[in-house]
Amino acid sequence: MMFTLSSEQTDFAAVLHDFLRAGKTDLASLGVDEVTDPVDLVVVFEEVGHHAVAGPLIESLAVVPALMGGVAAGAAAGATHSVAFPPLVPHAVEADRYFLIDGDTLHEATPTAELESVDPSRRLVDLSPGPIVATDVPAARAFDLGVLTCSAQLLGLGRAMLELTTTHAKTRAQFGKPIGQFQAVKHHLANVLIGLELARPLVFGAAVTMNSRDVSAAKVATSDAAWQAARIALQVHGAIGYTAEHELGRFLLQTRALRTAWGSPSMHRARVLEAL
Amino acid sequence: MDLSLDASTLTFQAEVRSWLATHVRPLSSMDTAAGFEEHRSWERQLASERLSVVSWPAAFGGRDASLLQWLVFEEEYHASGAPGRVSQNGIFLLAPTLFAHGTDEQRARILPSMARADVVWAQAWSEPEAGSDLASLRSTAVRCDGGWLLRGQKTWSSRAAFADRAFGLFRTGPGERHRGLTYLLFDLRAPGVTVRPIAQLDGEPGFAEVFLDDVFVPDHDVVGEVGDGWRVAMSTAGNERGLTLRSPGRFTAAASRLVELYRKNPDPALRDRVVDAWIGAQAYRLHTFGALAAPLSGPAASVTKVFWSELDVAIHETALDLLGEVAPGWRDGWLFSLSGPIYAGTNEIQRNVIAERLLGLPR
Amino acid sequence: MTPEQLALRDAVRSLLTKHSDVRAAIETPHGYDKDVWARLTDIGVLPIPEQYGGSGATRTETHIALEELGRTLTPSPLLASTLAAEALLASGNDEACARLLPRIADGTVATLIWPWDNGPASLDGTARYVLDGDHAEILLASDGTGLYEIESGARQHTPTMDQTRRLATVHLDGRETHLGRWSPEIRDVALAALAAEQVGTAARALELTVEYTKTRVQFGKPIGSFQALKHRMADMHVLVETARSAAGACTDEVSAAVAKVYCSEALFKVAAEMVQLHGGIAITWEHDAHLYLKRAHSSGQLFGSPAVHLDRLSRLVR
Ligand SMILES: Cc1cc2nc3c(=O)[nH]c(=O)nc-3n(C[C@H](O)[C@H](O)[C@H](O)COP(=O)(O)OP(=O)(O)OC[C@H]3O[C@@H](n4cnc5c(N)ncnc54)[C@H](O)[C@@H]3O)c2cc1C
Repeated sequence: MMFTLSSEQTDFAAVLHDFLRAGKTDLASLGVDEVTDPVDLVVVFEEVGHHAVAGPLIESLAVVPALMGGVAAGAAAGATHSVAFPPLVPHAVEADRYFLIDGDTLHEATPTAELESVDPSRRLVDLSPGPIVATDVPAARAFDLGVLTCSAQLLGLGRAMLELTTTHAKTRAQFGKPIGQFQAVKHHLANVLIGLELARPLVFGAAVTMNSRDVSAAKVATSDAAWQAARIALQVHGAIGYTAEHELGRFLLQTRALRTAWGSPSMHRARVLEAL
Repeated sequence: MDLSLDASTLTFQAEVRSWLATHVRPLSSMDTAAGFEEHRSWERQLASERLSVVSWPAAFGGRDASLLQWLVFEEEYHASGAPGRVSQNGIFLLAPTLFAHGTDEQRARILPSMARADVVWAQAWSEPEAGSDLASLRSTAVRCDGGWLLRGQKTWSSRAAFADRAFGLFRTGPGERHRGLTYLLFDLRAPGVTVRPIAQLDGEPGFAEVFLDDVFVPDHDVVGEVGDGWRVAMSTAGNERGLTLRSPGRFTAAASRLVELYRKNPDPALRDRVVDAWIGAQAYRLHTFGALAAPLSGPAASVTKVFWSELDVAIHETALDLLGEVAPGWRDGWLFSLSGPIYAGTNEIQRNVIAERLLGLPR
Repeated sequence: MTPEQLALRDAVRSLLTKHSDVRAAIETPHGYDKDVWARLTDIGVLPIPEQYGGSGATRTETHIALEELGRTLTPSPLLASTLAAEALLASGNDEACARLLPRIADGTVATLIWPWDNGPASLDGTARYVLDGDHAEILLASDGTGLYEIESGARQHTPTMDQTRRLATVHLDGRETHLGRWSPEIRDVALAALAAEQVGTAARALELTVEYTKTRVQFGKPIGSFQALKHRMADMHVLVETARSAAGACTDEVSAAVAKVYCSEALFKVAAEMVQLHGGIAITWEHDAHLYLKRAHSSGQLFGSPAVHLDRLSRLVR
């Protein structure tokens, strides 16, 4: 039994962190497109969330490769992929190429209409199915990988908002002291930390077992913990957090969108219960 | 106990309902230049029916309606899906202050144009360093011939980018913190005023920063006594926290929409939250009816502020959980609901007030 | 409240301050203090018209008394007798009213067995959780359509976690006299009465907590000066005040169900917070906090749990 990340994995996370912090986006240059192990994927997506990177990353890096057995059939290097799993994932995030899953059959798909997400940086499309690309694809596992990486991303988003907010609480002063000295603010932040800390092991646990019960449990916990982090972050920032100029908004909106993406919390709760 | 409406209120309700049914139309966001003007025209249309400020005296454009009739108006207004009130800061915050502390001249000069939205008012209280701790504000008003010169910076002023005039608190000295503040009115287009719009989370410039560089304010635009600004402002701050700015009609309407949404998208796991939200709106409504008999004190308004703001979040969060990330018709309201626990005094500050002033807990 | 209502509240409050000893009362054979009950009926808090020997008190007065009883957790047959009296008044049977109501007004304990869901119920079988059912001298029952007087039937006290509320199991044996019609509105009357009592319990639980945190000192200051505790008590206050509004506005089926759900949930939370904010002392038998917590749970379940009424509401609201 060893429920902790290897030094390679923590190093990789640190490299990713620096890379994304520097504003770079070409993840393939770090070999991220070759990552297939679920635990490694969680490491990657926690950092993706930590920097609120937008775009069809879950789809391009985790789900579509799983559906196509690792070969991104005919894709130009750097092209992004997206996929819908109706009815659970009814829309696809905007990408260069689209797929649609019907049972265990993978179709090419074409976008028919654009939809508005609560997060304007996530552009969504409706799809209509085209020719069949493959049959008997591992759709269930691919879906679970989508849920898992989405959970990891939420975890990273939550962590980032906790960090931003802690820094703000130490520097913003009102009534002659840093607002972080008020118990109300302290306890808000402590609650966020507790929520994220307890959601985290569920995500890694799910990456190890990859059964749908555990994956769903991770999604429920991270959806709630990350959204709580967002609410508290906004509350503790006050009006400045409510502006488009402040970076919090990006994290908050993405968190709200991912909370119900890849299956709503109530759908995942039902899935956990069914499995028990 | 009796919750029935008297005959004249019923007649009034029927009139309001039928007028709204034929006139309400969707407008674009009032946080944009064009949307702001659309909302101004809507206010004028309301005013021409004397529906913009029903509880005010007729002389100022109202109907002398009772508080109960005003609540009924609000219920009808929100149930009809009518647009947000672009005049809200003037009508619900400045006007009560003028009724309580203004002069006859000020009321006669300011209120009728406010009722017709010829002048739309912005609130200029917060400053970069003075948010929750408003009494630490630094902007000053310095005596000059025939009036005052304003200097400093205000921020987070809602729709100040498009509004005409603003009411604010300024340091006139002597004394620190709550002492030595004066409540003044100024023109947002006066020489020396620079307004910088700030986009809110929805991307629209709903906030503005207001820079003041020797902006002249004539003496007749001082509200209340010089140096008494804190008391003048606080005596009506309860309006923002309590009933007037956020009447129950707004939440009963949103809760009914939520129930409707649930009927179309039933998710049994969310049923209790839907019904709890509806119950919460009822509780707030009844709480308000109770306040008709015994008006809420300042600190008691903190109770309603915490309640309505958290109820509003609960209603909208539940709607989003029902709909998922594609939530047409709910997104803007949802985003705005998230700011409720921040504006009008954060809920942390309200809880301090409740604990210290209503429960008598030590500071 | 009118001056008369305030005077009534003060009279009941001072009676309970002077004479109510909850812990002694629950040790008595019937679980309530007969002397306190006699004094309460003398004040005239039962909603019985003068023509039937009552004081002419309205429901509002009864609710004031229930709220006071809720504050102190004083065990009392008032709730049971009130429901029996209301059911009689709604039965349309003058003879039964004239025969039974004066006795109830004088303090003879009465109770009512009724289906909380207003569905059909059998009068031949076992009724559980009957308020004061083991010692009530007047026993009424409804099968969901008619109101009956029960002649006999074996009954036992049912000890529950909440010793401040007397409940019993009654074995009905099919021997009953038909009195008149059953009015389904009695359910709403019962929920409103219970809500009034719950508000009293919650308000007092908060007061006790505020008093305690003002005097308990840790880290060199009263614990009530810590924001973390202040804000929780502020939230309790918001709950109590909104619960009071919900309880005070029961006028129909929906608002009574709202009151039941809202007041039950508010009282749960307030009582749980009372325990948390008292710390270790709340876990001791000597301290009253556990009595409040147990009362919160038992009155939440009485007349149907919040979940049952939420379910009903989800069908009623539009
Ligand atoms: C949508 C919106 C519209 C607004 N419109 C206007 C307007 O028109 N005009 C105007 O003047 N202002 C306006 N405001 C500003 C508003 O009044 C301030 O946001 C508010 O006073 C809080 O100040 P702040 O944002 O600087 O937060 P801060 O005061 O910096 O607070 C940050 C955090 O610290 C907490 N905190 C601070 N002090 C304490 C304490 N003593 N105990 C416990 N916790 C504490 C707060 O609760 C909050 O969580 C608006 C704000 C919003 C969000």
